[in-house]
Amino acid sequence: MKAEALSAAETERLLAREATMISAARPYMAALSRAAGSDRHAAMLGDARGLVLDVVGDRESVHGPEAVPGPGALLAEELGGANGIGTPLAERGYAELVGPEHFIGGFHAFTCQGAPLHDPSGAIVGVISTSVRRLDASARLREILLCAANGIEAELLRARLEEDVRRVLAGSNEALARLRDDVIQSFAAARVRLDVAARRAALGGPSYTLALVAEAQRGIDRFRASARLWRDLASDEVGAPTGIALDGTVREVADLLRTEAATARVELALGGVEPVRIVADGRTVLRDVFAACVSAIDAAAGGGTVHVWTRPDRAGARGVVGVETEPALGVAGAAPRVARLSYPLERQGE
Amino acid sequence: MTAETARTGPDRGARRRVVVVDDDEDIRSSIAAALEAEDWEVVEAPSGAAALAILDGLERAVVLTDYRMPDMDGARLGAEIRARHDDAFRLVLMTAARDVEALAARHGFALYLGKPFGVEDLLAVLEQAVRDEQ
Repeated sequence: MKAEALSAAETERLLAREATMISAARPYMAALSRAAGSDRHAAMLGDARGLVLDVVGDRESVHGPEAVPGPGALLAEELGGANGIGTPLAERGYAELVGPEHFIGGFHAFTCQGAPLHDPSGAIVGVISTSVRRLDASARLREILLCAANGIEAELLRARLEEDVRRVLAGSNEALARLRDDVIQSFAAARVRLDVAARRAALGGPSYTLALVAEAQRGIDRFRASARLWRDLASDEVGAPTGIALDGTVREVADLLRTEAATARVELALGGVEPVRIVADGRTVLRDVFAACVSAIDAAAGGGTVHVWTRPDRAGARGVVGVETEPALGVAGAAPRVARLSYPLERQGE
Repeated sequence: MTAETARTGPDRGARRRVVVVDDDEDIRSSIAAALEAEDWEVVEAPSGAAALAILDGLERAVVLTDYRMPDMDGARLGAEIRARHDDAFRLVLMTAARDVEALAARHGFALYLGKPFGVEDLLAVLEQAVRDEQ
């Protein structure tokens, strides 16, 4: 199959530059390849311009005389016409091309499905596609492809957490470093499930495969949400005050600290969390609530309880978070204590 | 061993057996789905204490344990197993910690898995554990 391509030296530089994405995508490319089973196929990874970065597939499709374009080939739609790499980039979303819908003649026996990849800020950084040499496209391959795309995006987010955690550890914030491990944990089950789904897809059993993919997708969504919170906690940025739900922040922090509390043998109780809207910088509030809860968990370690509540103050001017520590019975020198954080209430019409 | 703490497949004689110890049900069930498809017998334990009770009734198994768990962490569980059963069980540590290799070495685990991992990684480390056992 013919496509325009970079020189060998340019390709080498491209692959070095995109090493993080190639490495993040490798297990998902392997899963896509496995899911295609015995059909001739190729899973391809491209960068944001449509340059091929990696190809995994059967020997004939990757190395045969009619092999799919390899690393360095340019498959941007404006040059390569409609194809599984260029079209999802041009359309900024999932695309499927069946047989002659492809511009490149060599793809006419293939069904190609592709989806763009986004970095943690939402910018398109690449594309993943699967090409299978059959014209009846499989819905389960589509679901696995979309889940794999989300998995790669989650891996890119995980790589970003690795960078953040170095800064956090430099500041001796061990609680936040431990929390990063808990956030990663939420991703682990999703990764295994997607792998199992890919193996099952090759053997048939579509309903179980799709159920596994859906479970994996939910795990990836949970990971992305908690990773986003973790990055806000690790950040020292301060934004402009906006209206936020204080009770929502408290619930998010409590959810993130579930394992931390269980490991310290502390019951984290959310009695009396009332809906309260405040005006403040969301990240600052998140960090304040997190720090108060971590300190309370430390003080209650070994069998104590931490009660967290939210309510407006008596004057109706501020929203208050209370973090009450009830140490374990029999701990020498430990006494109950209350930490309060307060922020201006949001006025109607603000 | 109760239905809540353990899930075993049908008895197929010499099937390879793994005890998966993790307080996260999602992790246990995903690993069970992966390994049962590869003809492993999987016994799930939600805590170190449950794992110790299960191991008292077994002769051979690979123990795949999480590190960060309430009540008893993976390091303490490993030490307890060695104290009670010598080297009867092969131990594998799994953790999302960044320094997995150092953590495993510090607590006497020759085999380890960094989370997240794929099915290939999981099978490779368990096969290694079985080879070491023989």
